[in-house]
Amino acid sequence: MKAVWKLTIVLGVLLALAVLFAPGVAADSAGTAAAAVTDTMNTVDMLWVALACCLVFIMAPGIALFYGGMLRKQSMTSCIVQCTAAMAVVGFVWIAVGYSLAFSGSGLVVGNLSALLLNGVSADGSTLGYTVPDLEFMLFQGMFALVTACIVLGAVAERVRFPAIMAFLALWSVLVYAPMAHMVWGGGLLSTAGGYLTTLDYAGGTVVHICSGISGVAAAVVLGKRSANTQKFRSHNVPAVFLGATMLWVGWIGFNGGSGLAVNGQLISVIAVTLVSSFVSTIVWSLIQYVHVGRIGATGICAGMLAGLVGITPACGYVTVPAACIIGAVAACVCYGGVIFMRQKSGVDDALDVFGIHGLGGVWGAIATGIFASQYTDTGGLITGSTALFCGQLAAVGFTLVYCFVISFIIMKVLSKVMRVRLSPAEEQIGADIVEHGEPAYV
Amino acid sequence: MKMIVAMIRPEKLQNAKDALAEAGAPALTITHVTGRGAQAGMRFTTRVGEFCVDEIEKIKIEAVVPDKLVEPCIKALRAHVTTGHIGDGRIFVLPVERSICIRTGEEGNP
Repeated sequence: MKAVWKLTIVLGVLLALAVLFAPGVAADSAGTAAAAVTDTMNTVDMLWVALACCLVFIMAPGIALFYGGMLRKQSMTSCIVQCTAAMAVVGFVWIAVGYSLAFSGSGLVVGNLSALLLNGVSADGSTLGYTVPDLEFMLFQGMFALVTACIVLGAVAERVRFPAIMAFLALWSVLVYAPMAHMVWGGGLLSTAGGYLTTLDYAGGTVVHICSGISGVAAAVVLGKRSANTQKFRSHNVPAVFLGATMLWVGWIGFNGGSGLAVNGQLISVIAVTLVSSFVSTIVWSLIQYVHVGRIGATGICAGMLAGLVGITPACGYVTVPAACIIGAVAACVCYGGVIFMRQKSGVDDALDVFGIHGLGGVWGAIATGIFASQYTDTGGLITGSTALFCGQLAAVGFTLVYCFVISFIIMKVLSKVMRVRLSPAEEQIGADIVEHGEPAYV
Repeated sequence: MKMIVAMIRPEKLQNAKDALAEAGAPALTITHVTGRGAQAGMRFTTRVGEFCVDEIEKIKIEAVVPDKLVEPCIKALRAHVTTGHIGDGRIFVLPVERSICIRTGEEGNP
């Protein structure tokens, strides 16, 4: 326990020092930043992005219900507590450090620390060339950090200790999520603006889905499997799963739609292809399940819907409706196969199919962007006769898988040396609800 | 004619059902119950001290079997639901006076 306190104190001191020195750093970059401020804000865009923030924000508690309902009933409270706490911890870390690392400066992997604790982030103007202010952009991006962190929880559910996963997510959001956001959206290594690759990621196929999927797997590998008596593939509360899935489905309109940060024709196209893809993937998943096991379940049909949403995420800004149908259909096939593989063959206990759905769905989505991108972009995919984007997407996927896995693995491994990261078999049997939180979900 | 009452680990339910079917006694009733055994619950430690969980989830199986099947059923159950750790549960055997089929009124066979 002492080691944990030491670690906390060291991190606290580091953060305090960073905050103290931040104004000095900011002063250096103020000259360049101030020049680029535009203050032609668009009220309609600001309103839509604020609404999209709300929609994405409510996806995080949606994940708590969706995941909690799929676990044993002894883990429902634990899932709710972990999601809520992850929202707070990752949200704060994003405001304190993450946003600055992701969106200030132009490093290859991370930006700089000039916007620590939102130092100099304006509520009235944009330094990034958008028609919404930097502070609103920060909030919208922060929602993505929350949701991504909550998705990771699904891979390690029912055996990770609460303090351990919170420490993991705090470090992960600085060392994995913020660099990913910077590399893809902040002008770093994986963005077209970075100058190395031609890539497109409209709403987070690599940053959110591949990243959360593979980070979850890395953490699950370090933790090990749940003990055999906890490992049950049966949802304890199907209505909760459905309610959570619905919050995700509706929220996804803000998740994909908000990513354009503007109200225009592209926004309407994004919402249309997002819904089309999820409709098609739900149908295809149901058909596969009907052929495979003879019956269609609620948990399965919700997973099928998610598969289509994950698949369309990176492509949604750039594809037509027919392409969205293909993306949704293939996403259902890939994710169905992925879930079966992860459960039966992989040897990793990915408790709630985080890699099967988000990881592989995200990989397919990124590749599909390289194939089908054809509108609202200068760099089209394979169907426009250009191969640069397709190759760029493959490289970005490969890099994301390796980077997120390695760093997440190291974080969890280090934590496992300084603290107890998983529940004992006896604690698992009774369930984290009572052992860790003292509050059963159902009495 | 005896009633076998087995308190087992929830995750061993399928094994228990298979075991009883194999032993020739497929008819049974299952109840989800909570309770404690001879150890009076399980003890865990938090930062501020120790606490005891004494409502542990178990499954109760009730099966009425002819006298000659009692020993085979007990043997089959023990073979299939044991993990070797404390908390595997107990088997009770109770006498049964009468057994009547509701549909036919036939009496005697369990």
